Amino acid sequence: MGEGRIDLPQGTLDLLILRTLALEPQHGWAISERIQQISSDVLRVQQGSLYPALHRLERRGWIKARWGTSENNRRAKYYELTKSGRRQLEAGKDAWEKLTAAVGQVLGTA
Amino acid sequence: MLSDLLFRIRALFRRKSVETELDEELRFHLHRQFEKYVQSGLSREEATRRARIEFGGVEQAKEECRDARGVRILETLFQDVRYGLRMLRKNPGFTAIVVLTLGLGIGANTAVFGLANAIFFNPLPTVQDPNRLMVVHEGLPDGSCCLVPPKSYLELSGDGQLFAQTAAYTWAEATLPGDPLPERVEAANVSQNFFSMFGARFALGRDFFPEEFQPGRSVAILSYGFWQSHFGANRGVIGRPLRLGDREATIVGVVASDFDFPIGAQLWMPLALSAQDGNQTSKGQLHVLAMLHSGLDEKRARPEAAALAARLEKDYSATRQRLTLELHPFRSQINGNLTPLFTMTLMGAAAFLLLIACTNVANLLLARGLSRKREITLRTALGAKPTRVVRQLLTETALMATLGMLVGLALAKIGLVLLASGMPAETARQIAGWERLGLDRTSLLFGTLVTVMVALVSGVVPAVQTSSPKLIECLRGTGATSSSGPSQLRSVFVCAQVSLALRTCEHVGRCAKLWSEDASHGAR
Repeated sequence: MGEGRIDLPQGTLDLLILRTLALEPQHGWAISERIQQISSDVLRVQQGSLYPALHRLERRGWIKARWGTSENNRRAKYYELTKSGRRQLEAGKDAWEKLTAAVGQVLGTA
Repeated sequence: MLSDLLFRIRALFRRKSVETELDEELRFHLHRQFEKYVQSGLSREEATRRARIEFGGVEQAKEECRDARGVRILETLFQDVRYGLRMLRKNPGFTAIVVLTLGLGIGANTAVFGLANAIFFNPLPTVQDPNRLMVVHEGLPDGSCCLVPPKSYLELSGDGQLFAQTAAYTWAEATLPGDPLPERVEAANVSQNFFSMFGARFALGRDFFPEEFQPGRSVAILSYGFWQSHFGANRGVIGRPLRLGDREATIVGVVASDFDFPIGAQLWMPLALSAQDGNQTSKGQLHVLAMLHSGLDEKRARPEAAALAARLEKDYSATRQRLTLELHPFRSQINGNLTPLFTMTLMGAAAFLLLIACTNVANLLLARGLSRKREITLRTALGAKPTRVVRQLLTETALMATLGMLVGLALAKIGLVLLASGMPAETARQIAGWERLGLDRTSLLFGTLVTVMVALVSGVVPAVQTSSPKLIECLRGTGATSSSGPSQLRSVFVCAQVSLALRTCEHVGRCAKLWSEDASHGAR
């Protein structure tokens, strides 16, 4: 684990998963790789914690799962965004932007 | 919402395949990561190691996934119930004693409630709001009461301030010309509003029309029982003449089977009251009933009744010196004014009995908690949280209470059947609600509530006490000797039991005394 990586704030993992799945359906490993790449290796996502989050999102109906064949020809569980998941992503993005703007403002003027 | 439900249902009932899928999913992840490292040139051992480290605890992730399914509570409950049933089967003697003790308590309370509900709480089920229905008595200066002369009735029914509705009835003589002997039937003359005030429904035909209360009009309404016994439940009976002595009445209606008032009446005819009746105080004293305006109850109506009496008095002070109006709740009058005391005595005694049963069972559970100490300690040492152990113990108590409820309901049913069949038919006919005596929906609900209460009252203290053993001592095997906590608690329970038993005796004794005093007063 490299120095300089930061832990993910509570609840943001869901948002990152939804964002990743907005591009195309993916299996769990690919999601974790993707998050790692996009965040330029700054964020530290414990890979094991990804799965409870995926199952929670599936229960809420924001993503749905089906079994498919992976790029290396193995059976893998693919997740894709549902309609309500897409709505949730938009709402989450808005909330996140408001939050960071507000926090940034406070920190900037302090 | 729906997808959530389907997800949880699948997690609950297809647990095995859900678990297999989880396994496969996590294995796939580890394998993929392993492949990535191998491709980047690491040795197979190093690749496996790195993949494992980055993933974190696999079992931990699995547990979290199980939590994420949102069926944890139910799964634990199923587990507890299965384990609890095993424990009950393992100790059949203990289980039988607890179940029987609780069964007796629950049964006694349910039976008494069934009785009270039939003859006291709800003796006439058709009445919409039995709390507002009053019996009106007129008191005379000499202290006698209770029937109301027609003039007073006309006056007070004309006064709309206190009563929303009033009705009156008298018993009447009626004789059916029979072959070979004429038959006497119980008939009542009733005023307008009588049927509507009681919310009576008609199986056939209709209520009396207002013009049928004029003298000389002769119509009759039959009771359901009379219609069945004398007309063979013939639906064409409406409009037929009914010979009564030297008169003839036209049948206009048959009331539904749930209406029986005044108790035992077989047919009803209109009560014709005219203005002249007011002057003949001797003629036809009336039983008067009144429905208070909504929002009023017996207590708040009393001063108003006094005011009404004063108004009436002024109006005809020539005929009478002093007049009082007494209001009594209908439901405590309908089966005699001893019914409230009678039902309260029984319910109080049954409640005390139940409390004694609860303390008994709590005591037994505490005692057994001592002998289960090693089991509980082991579970705690293996990581079970105290709340989890309490839940397990409470589930066991709840299972026994549920079995106790089944026994109790069976006992209550038997008791009520015996009670119903033991009452002479002549007497039973005079008790409003008696024919509905039994385990109806309300009594079953009451029995269930009692069971829940019993499980909590007798289960919580022993469960909490048992779930927090002193770990080290118990594991060393010295725990059983230094158990001052539970034994003190057990003496508390024994004391509570003795005092409850004494209280029960006192309660019953006091009620019996009140009862005999009241009875002798009533007889006077």
